[in-house]
Amino acid sequence: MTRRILILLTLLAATTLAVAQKPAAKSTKPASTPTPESAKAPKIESHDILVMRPTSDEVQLPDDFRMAIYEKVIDDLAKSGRFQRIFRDGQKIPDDVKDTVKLEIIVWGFKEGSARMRQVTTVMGETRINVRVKATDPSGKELMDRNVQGGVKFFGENLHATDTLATNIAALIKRSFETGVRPVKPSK
Amino acid sequence: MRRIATLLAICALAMSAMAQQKPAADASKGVTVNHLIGLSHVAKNAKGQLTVADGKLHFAGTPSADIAIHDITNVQTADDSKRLVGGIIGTLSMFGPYGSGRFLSLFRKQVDVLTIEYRDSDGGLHGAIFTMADNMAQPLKDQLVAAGAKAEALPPMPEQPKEKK
Repeated sequence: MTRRILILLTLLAATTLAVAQKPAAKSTKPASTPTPESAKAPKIESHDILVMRPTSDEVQLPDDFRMAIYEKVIDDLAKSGRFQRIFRDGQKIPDDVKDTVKLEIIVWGFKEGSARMRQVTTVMGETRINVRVKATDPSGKELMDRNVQGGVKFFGENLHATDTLATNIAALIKRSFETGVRPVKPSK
Repeated sequence: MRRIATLLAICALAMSAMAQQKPAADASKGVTVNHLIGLSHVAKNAKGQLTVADGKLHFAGTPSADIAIHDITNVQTADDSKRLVGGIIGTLSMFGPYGSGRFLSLFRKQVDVLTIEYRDSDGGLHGAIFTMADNMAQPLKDQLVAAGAKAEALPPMPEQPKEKK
């Protein structure tokens, strides 16, 4: 009898906690173009990429999250060794470089969870970031528009969500681009 | 059993009290920071001293790095928290008996986050992120702004659509 009451109380507490969690600040999920794998879309051919500072008109994204996403995406792309040149936002592009693809990261969903909640409950307090990754050619023609998500579900600090997001963005770019550059392993 | 619980409670209370001790907010002598990302040639999670002097923001660590203050386009501060017992011990404590690891996870210390956006010589945007002890980021930001760094005002929160009842 007592055990039943205890189980009931635990279930009730878990439900209350789940309801009390803040809803994700996000707008409606924007439509995106299919991945090259799923719809056999042609790969984007470019040796160079220009990564723009992430924007967030629809949700308020803390500046540390914004710059962490930006830096980690550039880091991951550089590590992949698949691009000849990676340009940063505002960087002067040399005149001889013609086919630079502009990469925009538009944040449309951000839910700041709680690391304490995650560590105590393991299943609650998730931090989640939803972005739209848009690639355009120098003439402004859209080459790619995809939704990517990153987050921390179980362990780790909130800013760790930017690690998984950057990894997912870099993986998407690697899948979608045909750069013709083979990654070179650094000699020991 | 009761002794272990009492010991854990005492430990946690002591750590919590230690975490709440606020350091004196004097950024002029330099602030001990943890570099998360953004400074070229400086490793992630490298510790160092951040000082503002001679028109530069100087990170004294291994290796050191400088950012000219006129290159800084935005400085922002934020609050965060981190586990009081971190690192390997913190991870191992998760496997402690009777949920003691989870209990220790309740105790966290407040940290400040300082985000600096700056341009390199080619005009390329960089973002450096540092964490430091609580109440240290704002004096450092004030020092940077007084020295000529720009700090954008935070945009207002976008209005959430009202739910229909």
